[in-house]
Amino acid sequence: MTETERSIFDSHVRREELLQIKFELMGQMLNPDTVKRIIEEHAWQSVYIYGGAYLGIQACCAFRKFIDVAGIIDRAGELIMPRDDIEVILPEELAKIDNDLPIIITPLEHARVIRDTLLKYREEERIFYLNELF
Amino acid sequence: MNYSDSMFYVVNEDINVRGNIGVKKKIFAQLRVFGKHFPRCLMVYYAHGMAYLLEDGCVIEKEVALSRVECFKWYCEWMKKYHCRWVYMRCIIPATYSYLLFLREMKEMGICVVLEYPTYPYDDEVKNEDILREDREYRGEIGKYISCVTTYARDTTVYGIHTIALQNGVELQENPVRRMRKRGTNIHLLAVAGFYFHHGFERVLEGLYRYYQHPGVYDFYFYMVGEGSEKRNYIQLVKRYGLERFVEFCGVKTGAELDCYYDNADIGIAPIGLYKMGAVSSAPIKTREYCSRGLPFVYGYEDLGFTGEEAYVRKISNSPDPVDMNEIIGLYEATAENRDIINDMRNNSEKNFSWDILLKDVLEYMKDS
Repeated sequence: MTETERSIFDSHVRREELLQIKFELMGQMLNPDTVKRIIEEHAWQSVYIYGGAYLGIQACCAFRKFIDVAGIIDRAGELIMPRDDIEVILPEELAKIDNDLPIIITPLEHARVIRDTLLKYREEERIFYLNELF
Repeated sequence: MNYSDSMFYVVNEDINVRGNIGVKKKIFAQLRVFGKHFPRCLMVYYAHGMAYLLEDGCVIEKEVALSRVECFKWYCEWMKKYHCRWVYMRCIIPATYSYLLFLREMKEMGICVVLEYPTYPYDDEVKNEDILREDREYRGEIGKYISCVTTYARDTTVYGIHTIALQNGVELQENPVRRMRKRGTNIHLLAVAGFYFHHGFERVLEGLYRYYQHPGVYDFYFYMVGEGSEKRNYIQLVKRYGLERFVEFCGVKTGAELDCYYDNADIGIAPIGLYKMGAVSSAPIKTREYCSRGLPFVYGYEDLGFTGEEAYVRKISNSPDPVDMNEIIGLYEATAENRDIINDMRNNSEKNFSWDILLKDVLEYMKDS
């Protein structure tokens, strides 16, 4: 196998692994017992979800069954599919909002960059990656 | 040995899923022993796209790792940061190209790597042909990068690599001696397991079905504690054979609740389906747990810890044949209400199945390397 072929092959493997993780998370969030356990472990009353793609919307719907979801934070200020029942805010709006609610980051590929951005608005221990909750 | 050096235990499965309770217990038991012998003992594991570094059960580092390659990258970063000199790692199946690169990098860092194969051979256990093909492609090269393997099979060398035969052990304080039930005409069977196909408990269900065609004086009650992929098949068999009155699916039980099931049991059922994996010998945790609790048991393979001649065991065939319930009756009659048997089993566990003793050869090997 040439270096180029190896590199193409590896990127396919990585993409497949990422899809598998996302698929599993989508499934895990369908289990109310799991979601309830996570909420109880963290003693959350209300949270923000970061990311307006499918994982973010799924997380919002899953968590809303048990606690208040204050809204979805999205860089583009919109959801991948329009939902009237979910409030969407831009990350910079966090500066004006007077609360310290935890934020759950759902876009896994950019999770570290998003976390670094959010550190302007939140303490590190109030920021969570979706995949670390399960 | 330098006091800033550390030992890493690399876990490659999600130990927080229900089916891995036994694996998790074993890993933490081994870690406790390693912790006594190395200046610092850390554990890394990977689940749902996160790589974690733990010390004394607490997460001290975590990073998003959306692929195995990224995960290995973080492991290596942490190994450098924490001056890792020794690694004890549970094997990854399939062996992949990135896995070999990880092993190579550890070798280049001068780390002594001991790789554990909990099951060997495992080809018959892997049902996905693609996984097996990939594994066969790369596993032959593992020996280039590591110098020692541990496994639970007897008289085996894994891929030509120096192999230390291990046995599974138990944490005695977590497995108290059971209370003894009164002798009677009801025999309570107990299986505590993750219900994988190699447990082979369908052999007991088929044996019960045969027994009840021409029942004897004894009645059997089979308590199946645990959850797993085979449970659905067992439920179907129970319905098909009309055994609902005699078989109870109890779900996962731990702590005091599990102790109650042991107190209520007469005979334990250890794995009796290893033939499905092509394995003839093994050393499963379950037989050690039954032994430490003083519960006589039935098993169906060559066990590294038992000869099969002990008064408190019955070794049956490693085949798909239904269990002959008369064998179980024989074991019951020989052991019921016999306090000496229970003491004997506990003593055997203390002498032979404590992790401190079982890991002695591995520890010596790692320290000398």
